[in-house]
Amino acid sequence: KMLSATTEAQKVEISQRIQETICEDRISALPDDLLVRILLFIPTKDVAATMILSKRWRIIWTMVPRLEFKDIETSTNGEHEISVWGFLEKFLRLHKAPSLESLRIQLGQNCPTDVDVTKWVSNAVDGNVRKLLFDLRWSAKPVSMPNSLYTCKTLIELELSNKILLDVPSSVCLPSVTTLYLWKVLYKDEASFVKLLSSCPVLKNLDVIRCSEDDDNVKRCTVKVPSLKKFSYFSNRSSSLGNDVADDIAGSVVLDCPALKHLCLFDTSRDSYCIGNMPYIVEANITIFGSPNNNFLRYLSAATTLYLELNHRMAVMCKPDNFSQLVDLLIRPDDTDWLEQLMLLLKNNPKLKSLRISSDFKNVPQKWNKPDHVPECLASHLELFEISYKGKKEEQEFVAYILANTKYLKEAKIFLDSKNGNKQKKMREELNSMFKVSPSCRLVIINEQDRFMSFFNTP
Amino acid sequence: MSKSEKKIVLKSLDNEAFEVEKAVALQSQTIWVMCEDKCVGNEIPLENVTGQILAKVIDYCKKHAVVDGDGDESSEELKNWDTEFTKNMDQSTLFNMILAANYLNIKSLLNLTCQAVADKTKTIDEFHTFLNIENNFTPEEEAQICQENLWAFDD
Repeated sequence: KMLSATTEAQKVEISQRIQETICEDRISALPDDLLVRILLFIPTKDVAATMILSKRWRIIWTMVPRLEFKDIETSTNGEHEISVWGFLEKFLRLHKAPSLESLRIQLGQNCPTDVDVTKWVSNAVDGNVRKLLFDLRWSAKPVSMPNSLYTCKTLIELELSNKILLDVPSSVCLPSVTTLYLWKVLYKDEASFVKLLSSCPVLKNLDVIRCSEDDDNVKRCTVKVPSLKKFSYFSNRSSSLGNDVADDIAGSVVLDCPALKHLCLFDTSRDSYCIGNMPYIVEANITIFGSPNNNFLRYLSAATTLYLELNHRMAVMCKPDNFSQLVDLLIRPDDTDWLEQLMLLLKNNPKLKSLRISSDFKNVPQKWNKPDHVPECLASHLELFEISYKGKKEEQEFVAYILANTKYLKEAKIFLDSKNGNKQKKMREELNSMFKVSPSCRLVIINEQDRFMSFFNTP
Repeated sequence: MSKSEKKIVLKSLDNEAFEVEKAVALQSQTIWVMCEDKCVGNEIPLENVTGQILAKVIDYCKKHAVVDGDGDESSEELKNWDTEFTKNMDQSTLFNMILAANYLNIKSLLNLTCQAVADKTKTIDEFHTFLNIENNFTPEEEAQICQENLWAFDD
């Protein structure tokens, strides 16, 4: 049977080959717009090469509206790749698409420094570009963007990265931009940053990475965008300096975005934070080393997902009336009192399903006081509990308490934070002997070394 | 759902009739507009598609009507199905499928079939062999194009 199946398959293949070789060229008979559609799935460089196919194809490639030019990162063995720049320059001179849907240009270290790299931004704007990505990593100084970029009416997505200087004119107006990425760019002054954001009336998605090598001229970073739904912010500027120096040059981040649903702040500088109320927030992922304003956590109270670096500044804000909607809580303790703060937070989360405690900072709790009442979430909804575990007495009591009181727990995952085989064995025995009130609870004990694997698997 | 149980008949260029559920057929914007506009009984004549191609288009629409809206696993399965669907199509079939998808205005099918052509033609040589495109430049013309656009042809 197998044999006949194979021959059948072979037959099909052979007949197909014959068909392919004898079939005439039908594709060339498709109308221009459909040929362009096919070329949309082909890398830009190969698109240009189709000019050599036949007379029919001679100019089709010039009508493709989606182009991508990308330098390969300089290889580690010191060999220099030739920049895509030369190709890009010639390509766009001949390109004729009436409207450019998407242009992505990434120029690396080997891009010649005596050329006008920004003229393609102007060209794209003239071609009514809708999505523009410009990432410049050349060895020369940051360049200013052409003024026409700041008044481009068709632009929907704008991503600017690295050696780019934003000198925003007062005429700036970007009525269609919904997505804006500003990665490690420099600003002429603070006003440029503010002007740019306030000129995007329908901005929904903002992603900022602050430049860490140079001063980007923004001390007070003000994000006041009523339409914003998603904001990601990453900064590690000045964190390499000593604390005293860092405090001197510390800036601030001011967030006034009442419609925000998703917020991610990762900031290891000493910049202070002042955020406004976010009644629609769904997801917040907060790691900040500088000081937050007094109501910081309260303004995030509506979140259903919270990932929080729990340092002493955040800890003092933990109040039982915060976060009554919480379903998924992950904390990274950076303070020895964290267990008490956590129990405060847990007092009023009737919907909490998942509680995870990671220990990037290896802080074991110093104090554990058994609460007077079992928190509602333990009695009702909590299904997943995860903790990094050193086996100290306070931790032991805490884990025992969770296992003994969480009625519907499905899985408790404990990461053993010890390299000592005997100690690991002892901890396993301790954990296995703990009383579990939930009959269906699975106790999973994993060595800390294997934790990374599990991290990648958790969202 | 009683709505999706309603059937319509699609009639091909060569008069082949296919009875399909309305929800399946309405993935075609063109058919959707026809249904809205004319209130034609429930038989829709499609003058640009042969029965052989229409049968394949209906297969595609049936598959996509069933699985739409389900979880990740089925979208993965759907992707595999799509790959299998176009894998063994010859050039002539792909050509007709592209035209049909364009005429019927089924965007996902148009993308799928265009992608299938692109996938089979990653290099200029493959363009010539798979698509059998005849190079009708004179050797002089070809040399000149290459000369003028060296940048497009160096590897």
